[in-house]
Amino acid sequence: MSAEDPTEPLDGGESPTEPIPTGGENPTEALRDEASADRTGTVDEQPTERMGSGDEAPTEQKPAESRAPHQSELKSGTGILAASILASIALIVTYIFAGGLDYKPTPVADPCDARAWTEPSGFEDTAQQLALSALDGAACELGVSREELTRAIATPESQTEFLERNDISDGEFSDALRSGITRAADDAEDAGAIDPLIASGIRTAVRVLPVEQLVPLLQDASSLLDGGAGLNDLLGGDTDLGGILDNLGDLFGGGSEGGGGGGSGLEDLIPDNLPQDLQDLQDQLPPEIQDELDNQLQQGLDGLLNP
Amino acid sequence: MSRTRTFFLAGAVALVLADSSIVVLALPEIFREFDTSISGVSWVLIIFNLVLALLAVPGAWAARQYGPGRAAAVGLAVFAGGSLACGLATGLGPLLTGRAVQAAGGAIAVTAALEMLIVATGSERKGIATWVGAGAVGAAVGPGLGGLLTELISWQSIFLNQVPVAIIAAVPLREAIVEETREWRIPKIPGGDDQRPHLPANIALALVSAAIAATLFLVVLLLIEGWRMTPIEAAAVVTVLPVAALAGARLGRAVPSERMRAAAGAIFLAGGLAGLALLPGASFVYVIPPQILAGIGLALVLSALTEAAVTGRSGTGIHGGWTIAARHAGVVVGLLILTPIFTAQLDTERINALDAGTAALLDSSIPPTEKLDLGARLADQIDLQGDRVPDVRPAFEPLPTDPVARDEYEDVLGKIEGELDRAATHAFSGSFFIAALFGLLALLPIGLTRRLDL
Repeated sequence: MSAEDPTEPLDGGESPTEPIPTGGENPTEALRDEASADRTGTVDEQPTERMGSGDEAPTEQKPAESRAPHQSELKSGTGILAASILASIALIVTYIFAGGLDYKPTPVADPCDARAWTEPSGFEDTAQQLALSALDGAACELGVSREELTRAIATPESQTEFLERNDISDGEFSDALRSGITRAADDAEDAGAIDPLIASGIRTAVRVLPVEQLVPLLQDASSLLDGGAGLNDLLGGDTDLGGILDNLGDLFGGGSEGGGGGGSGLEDLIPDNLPQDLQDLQDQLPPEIQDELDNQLQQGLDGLLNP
Repeated sequence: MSRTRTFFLAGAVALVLADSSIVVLALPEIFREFDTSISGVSWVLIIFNLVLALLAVPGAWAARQYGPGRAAAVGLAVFAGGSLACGLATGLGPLLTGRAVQAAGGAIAVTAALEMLIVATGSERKGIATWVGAGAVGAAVGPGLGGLLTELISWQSIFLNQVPVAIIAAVPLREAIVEETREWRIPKIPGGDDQRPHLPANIALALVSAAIAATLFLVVLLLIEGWRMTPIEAAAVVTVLPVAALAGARLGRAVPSERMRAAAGAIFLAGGLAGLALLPGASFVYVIPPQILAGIGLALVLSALTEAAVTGRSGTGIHGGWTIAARHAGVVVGLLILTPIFTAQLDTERINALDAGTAALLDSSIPPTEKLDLGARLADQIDLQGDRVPDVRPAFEPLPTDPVARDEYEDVLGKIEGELDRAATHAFSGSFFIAALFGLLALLPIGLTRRLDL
């Protein structure tokens, strides 16, 4: 406190040495007089009522603190006000430039935007890309992110919770999964990552599979490609669909190891055992898949023989 | 004797007002132990501040009626009883009841202490300054102290330790009690019975207190629940606030103009909170500069406004009671407004973070079959931890022994944790912005009201 500060107590800041009034006097009252003396420099005056919230008129004796401040006080007050503004602006600007406005979770990709297929490095990679693409397609249909759908199908409980939270019926869910897997097969075929006949097999199988078998299919997409054993299991028969698909894949050159289709020549593309394979297909597949596959095979062969 | 009495009275004020924030660092522990929600656990703070706000003026009236010495002694005894009940509570309900009892006793003790401090220091101005300073230091030191006790002993120890401290603080009241028991006359209020509160100063106090609540409550939750720090680490980080508050108090002594001090304090506080809303990373380093500004700000603005509301007004204790009521009502309003906002935001951001983390896992080079397994373990961990920002590390353990695979796992773990940090930090941004707005709004009564005789 400055020497000229009118609020400086008269006793110069020393501790009061007078005993606290006792007896008939009320200590609080007595001290109020002292306090008043501290502030106004007089002892006999009643404490003044400061300008308050009410409508009372200001008292004649203004408290010392509310007198017009000295120039140095004004300066000091202006200084601290300016310091507060400058420090605040400096902090805000620094944090904005350091990335404060962008420090939030990375947004995930829109599942409706098709992701480019990368050149598969092997069977597992092809399977994984197929599964992710299928998840994208299904998520797009359902209006959720691929990531949310992935977590949703992790367990039966999370799936139930997901369906309830998003008000999705079982029918809508299975339709979306079918649509997603079909879209993935289309995309993979278009990108040359899987053979057209495998893609056809996938599309056909997905059409007839119940939803409880579609989810494991998505979780482990390799069952779509690993020689067809997964599909075989899913279809619930003793069919050697894997072998058939492999052979059909061989027909077009790429096999199930990815790497794109296209044979070296028609003679090479028609193996000796083709008629037997086709017969096997006829015999072993369920009727609805047989019909669909017949059509697809016919179209594929037509395309090859009548380019 | 008056110095000793001043020390003990200031200690009692600091003890009671520290309680409005001392449990902040213990809230996550209480949250887990009582298996409640963030909104539920916030009531451990809200109930104390609410009861304190409601009973501060009646407490001051009681001190005037029966004598401040006797009132303070009763208040501290009730406070000690409430603390004991809190320390022994076995559920959220008993804990909240104990907190309400603590606040009821605290309201009487704090307002009575103001009257007694004026007597003990022999000066109204010094008494008020000591009272305000003790309260501000108590509130600012509270979180750090509570964090230490929680980490080293338990959250219950916070309350159990308060019992002997409250009793010791009451010992020097002996003499006053004897005097007041012998004879006590209700003091007449010179200038009539108009004890209307200083409205602009009290409104400004309520607004800045809402902002301060955010500083104390949200920063701690961000550090522990968002960034997964231990209470002791968080305590070390939030200790910056009381240190800055002490520096702010020294700075404030050089500025006699209460209006300037109050305005500068509100701006410092708002600037600090805006900084917290714009954190550019999840590192404790980023939390320090905003806390420095907020600490300086709270010391400046609380002292200036309280002095303006109390000094020179008849019925000091009653006006002191009004400032306590305004401050703690502000804390309650701040918590009631900000808690649902940041919990809703936390929920949204948690999902965004999980999406981003899942994307990091799906796009990683971890073999697909391992991804499936890891994804299932992650889902289990998330389920296990309910609505909290999850700790996903257990899902990755044990890490593969193969160095390449281990690097891949750690890379994905780092990405997921990074996304969770971003989410937690961003979830608090909106609340910090609103709190900064509270601080700026206080400039209206400070700067524009002619009646505010600062």
